[in-house]
Amino acid sequence: MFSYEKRLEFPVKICQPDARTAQAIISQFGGPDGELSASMRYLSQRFSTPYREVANLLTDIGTEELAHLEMIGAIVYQLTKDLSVEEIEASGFDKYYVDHTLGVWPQSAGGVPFNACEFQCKGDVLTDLYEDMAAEQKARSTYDNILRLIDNPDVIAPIRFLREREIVHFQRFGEALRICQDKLNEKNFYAFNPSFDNCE
Amino acid sequence: MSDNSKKCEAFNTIGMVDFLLTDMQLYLDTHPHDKNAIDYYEYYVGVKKNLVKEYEDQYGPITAQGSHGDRVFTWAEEPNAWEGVCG
Repeated sequence: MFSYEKRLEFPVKICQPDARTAQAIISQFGGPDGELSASMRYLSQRFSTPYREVANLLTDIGTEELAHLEMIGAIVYQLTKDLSVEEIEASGFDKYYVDHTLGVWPQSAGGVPFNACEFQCKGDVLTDLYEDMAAEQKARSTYDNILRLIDNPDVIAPIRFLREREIVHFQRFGEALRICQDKLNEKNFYAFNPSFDNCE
Repeated sequence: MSDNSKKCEAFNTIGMVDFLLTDMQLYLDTHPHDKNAIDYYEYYVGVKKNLVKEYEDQYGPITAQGSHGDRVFTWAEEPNAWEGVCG
């Protein structure tokens, strides 16, 4: 089960609304390498993970990703709060506004709705961990791209924090991969699926 | 210092200590036999517990179960995390 603390993992307090910035950042809410993808990826993969310590790591990183989803939601919410219709039109946010007003909905920066096909749960712990490491790098690249587009220090601080977490998660998944590989012998290294096959 | 800035300082201190615990928890998932890390983690679990208790007694709930009010369920009245009150 999950319990909830009424606070963000890192503070978000944005004084100046900016719909153009919100349109870029919403990609980390519901885009291909966003936090919704990340949390659902790890929280789905963990069930079939054969090694308890690796399943634990997926639970804990998946849980942290939910906190990141909440931070991104808070950033988008605060960036679009109290906008006038004129500001919405001038910033190009009008296309989003037509369908969602100022509600926070999971889509990419290009307007593509969130889709579970953005992540995999292959039921093979090695395949899944390679995907997870790639996913952390893809999210880090996305944060790098966002940081090149924005100049508001109130937004830069939480985005930098989130970018750093991608690097830590990549490191931890690398260690988890090593833990899995240490459990395989040289004869069956990559030759079977440790989540499914029983070969020794 | 105003009551609100004292409240926010206490609130943000809980956030910092809990972030330390989040990061250590991931480290311990892949290094479960690191005795120094376990001691460090357990020490700050105690620190957080005390900070949360002090905060909830004085200002309001961090979790629903930390709500104490005689006539009102204070959890329902606390600002939401995304409002940027103590950012």
